[in-house]
Amino acid sequence: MSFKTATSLIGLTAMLSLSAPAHAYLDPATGSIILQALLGAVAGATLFFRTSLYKVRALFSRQKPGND
Amino acid sequence: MTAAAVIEPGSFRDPGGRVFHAGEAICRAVMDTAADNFLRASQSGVLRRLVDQGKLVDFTDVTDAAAALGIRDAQILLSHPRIPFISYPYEWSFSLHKAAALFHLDLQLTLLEQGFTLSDATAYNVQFDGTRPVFIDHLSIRPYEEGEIWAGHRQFCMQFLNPLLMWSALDVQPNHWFRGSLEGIAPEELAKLLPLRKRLGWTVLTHVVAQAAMQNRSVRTTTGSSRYRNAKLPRTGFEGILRGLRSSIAKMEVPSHKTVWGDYAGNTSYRGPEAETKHNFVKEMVGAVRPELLYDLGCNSGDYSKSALEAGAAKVIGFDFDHGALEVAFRRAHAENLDLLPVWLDAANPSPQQGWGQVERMGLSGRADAGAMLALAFIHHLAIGRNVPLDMATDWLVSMAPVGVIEFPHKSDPMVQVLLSQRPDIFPDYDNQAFAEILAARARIVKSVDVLPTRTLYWYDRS
Repeated sequence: MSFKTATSLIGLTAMLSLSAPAHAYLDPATGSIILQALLGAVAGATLFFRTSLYKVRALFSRQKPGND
Repeated sequence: MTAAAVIEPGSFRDPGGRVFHAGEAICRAVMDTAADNFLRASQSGVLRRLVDQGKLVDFTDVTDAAAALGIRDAQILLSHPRIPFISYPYEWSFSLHKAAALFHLDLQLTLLEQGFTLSDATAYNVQFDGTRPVFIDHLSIRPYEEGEIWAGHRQFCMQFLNPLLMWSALDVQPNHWFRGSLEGIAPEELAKLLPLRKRLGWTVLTHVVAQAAMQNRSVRTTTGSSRYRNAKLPRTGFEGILRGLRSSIAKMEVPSHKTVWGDYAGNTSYRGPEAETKHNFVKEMVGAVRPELLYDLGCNSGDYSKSALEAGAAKVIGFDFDHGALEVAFRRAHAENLDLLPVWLDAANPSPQQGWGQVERMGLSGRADAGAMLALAFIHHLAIGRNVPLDMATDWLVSMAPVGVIEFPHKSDPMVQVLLSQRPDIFPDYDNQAFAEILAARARIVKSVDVLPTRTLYWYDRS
């Protein structure tokens, strides 16, 4: 099992265990709303992590001031 | 703009606005409920910037003309340029659908940066100018409220993500299903079709499998609760979801299309002497008519569409049954910046008028006003491939445009023989002379040429 798949499975398990409330109003988009409420945190964190990673990378890969 | 306005029957869903046809013009009435949001978007300059970037159809305020057009209740009246050919997502090839999905996500991200968002995610709001996507619904753009849920998420999945997953994960074309289910393909249904190994990617696991599970669960539990009405999606989370979907969709490919590329590259590079004659014949007709819009039926890789554009056609809509051919045509149109939109068509069963009142989505016939058409090596697919009597096939072809070029492959032609090789020849009337007579009874034959001993080109004019 690849790392990505493992991460996905852990993520899904975490989400399904969070989606405990059995009281849901009948609305065609309820599944979408619950998913967003849960996924939003994960996706936001991923985005933050990625952005930070790029910033750190950029910091280190920045070329030194020209010496010519 | 003095003609009385006629309501566009596909524009009823949003009570905040209605679209009208007023002669050649397209008008959009902005009602009281939507006026405030529209003004905020308009005054912020975001709409004008999108128009300038070619991402949004142009608009002009013509509120003063509302009374003359008989439009009441409109707080604001806008006028838009007419889009020559409206296409529907169930007519798109994989690449068109993918381009539309990426365009929608990019538009949503751009709007978010500027404090706006889209109130829905319907694929019908994306149209194509050549192969370039353009957004047509100005009233879908409204101010973003911090923490609000992505209202269009489920719709995005049903109309963009899931059809693309059918292509990329299942290698099944979604056009038939989408045409029968105009709201798109539900996650609950797609989830049942995906094999286990296709479910393990993050996008499928979350947006399809998890969403389907939660949706099914919520439908089963009837004891209502409004707790989810107050659910929040922080802006960073929203942006993260959009970017995640974008990177996932950008990587999608159709497994079976990979082998198709080689075959088409080999076939299209060959151009025999008869092809030159055909190109010249097409160019002569197009040069004489100079149509604003030309239909190329059976466009294949777009060879003759390109000739038509070079000869003076302003815009070409190419139609083909073969998705591999449509992909090649899309790549060519995109790479060479041709005003060619290649869409999927089963000529024996073209898009019908359908949706609410059976007028919400237009059928193919009468949808646009093609000034000319090409049907090169096409008619035998109808007459022999689908058993349509030759006179009925001719009627349909000639109905597509007042002027055109039809290529008639004789029964002895190798392509016709391939169609006949697995079945008895029950087509005694399929004959070049008979076709000439059928066509002459419906239109003037301007010119005809035997492009090969077994192929004849006819230039007809019924105008």
